[in-house]
Amino acid sequence: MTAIKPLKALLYIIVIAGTAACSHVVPVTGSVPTPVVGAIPVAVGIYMDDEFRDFTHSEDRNLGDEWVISSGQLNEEMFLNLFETMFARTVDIDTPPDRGVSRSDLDALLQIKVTEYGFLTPRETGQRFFAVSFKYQILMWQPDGTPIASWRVVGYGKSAWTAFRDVEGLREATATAIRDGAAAVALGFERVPGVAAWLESKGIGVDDPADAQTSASLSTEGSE
Amino acid sequence: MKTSRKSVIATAVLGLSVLLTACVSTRIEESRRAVTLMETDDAVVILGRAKHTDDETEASFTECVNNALAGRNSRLSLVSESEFVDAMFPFFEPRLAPNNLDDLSRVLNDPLVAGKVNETRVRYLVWLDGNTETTDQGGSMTCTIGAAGGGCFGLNWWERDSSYEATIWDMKNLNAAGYISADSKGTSYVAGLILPIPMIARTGKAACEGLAEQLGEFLAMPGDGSAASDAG
Repeated sequence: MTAIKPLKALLYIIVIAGTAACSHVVPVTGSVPTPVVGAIPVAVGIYMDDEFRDFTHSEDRNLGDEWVISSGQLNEEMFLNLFETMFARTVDIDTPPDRGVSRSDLDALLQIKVTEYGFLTPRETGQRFFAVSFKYQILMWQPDGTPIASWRVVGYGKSAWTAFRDVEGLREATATAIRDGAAAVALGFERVPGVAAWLESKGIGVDDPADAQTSASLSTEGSE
Repeated sequence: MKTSRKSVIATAVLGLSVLLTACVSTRIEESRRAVTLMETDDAVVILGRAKHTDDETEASFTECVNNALAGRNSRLSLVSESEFVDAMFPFFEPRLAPNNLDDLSRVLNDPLVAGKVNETRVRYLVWLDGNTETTDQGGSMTCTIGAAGGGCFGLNWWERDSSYEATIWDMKNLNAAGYISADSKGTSYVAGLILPIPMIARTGKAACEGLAEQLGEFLAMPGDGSAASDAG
């Protein structure tokens, strides 16, 4: 009789654990590779606001299945490293650039924002992977505040589902989506119409053979 | 006395593991298109083909082939997938990786990219494509638990097919050196005889080991004893 008590207790614990609300905190980390791209000979002021640097997505799914995904740090590191490689010189600026800045040493100002983050879990899709998408908006101005271009870039990420490793799965898919977004910015930058015209006005030719393969693969929505 | 007890236990564990492993049949096919000329400084990288669907090559399979190949040929210099993809960022990201040799030669037209490949010393790039899927399943099993005890009764089975292909690209001559395919099939069972007794057919492992062995022979260096010499 005494042997049954621990068994009952174990069953109660399993039932309670199974019905309790689930909270997942996902701190997104990942590698920050340096892109193999040549530096464009311009000096650009980079503005990342606090919303971008601390970007956290919180969402309650399916009655108490709560997810908190903090990706601001990896976004900041990834894109700062990207811009530092893409441009001959970069300067961090701390005021919103849309009204211009009094810096005669800069050729342009650039801001990146996250406009949307979405994810799907294996429970929702019935597939054995996590899927993530990031939508970024990139805005560029002349140093006096005149707009150069504004365009959207989408980053996708996917990671295989492994039992009891949901947090790790979503972390990996989110990190992959950030990488994908950075890749799209790196290879799509010179093809954005406003950017191409601006580069031409600076006497900088756009002719990168390695970019040719990417035109069909990347979704970059340009607008001015 | 202690030694004999240990050996009895070891024999029992070995016997049980043999008994609990279901049969797997594996078929390996190779098609060589060019002579592979590995030199001492040359390295190999194995990459899994990424897809935005459920049937992409499992990262664990790529890792398995990498480890099995490293275990078979210690002279072969292998660059890890993450190291290569990071070094070549963004050209080998899932959405951007070259799908064919025309794409590859376009990418390598850029002196910066070509220089980076040289830095990694990768001479042969192996693309792994394929996956493991359950093709059929059946049976039933019931498990009960009560005050008087419990147990499982019945039989469950499922058939798995691990089908993979390795495409070997020569990064120097920009051609496809060859293809190796591995197809493993097997049926796993779980028999409920009070305790559930699994007999698992490890098709993925069999395909991985078969592919790695063939790949090792394909990429053999001069002096390995099995160096490839004929182009078919």
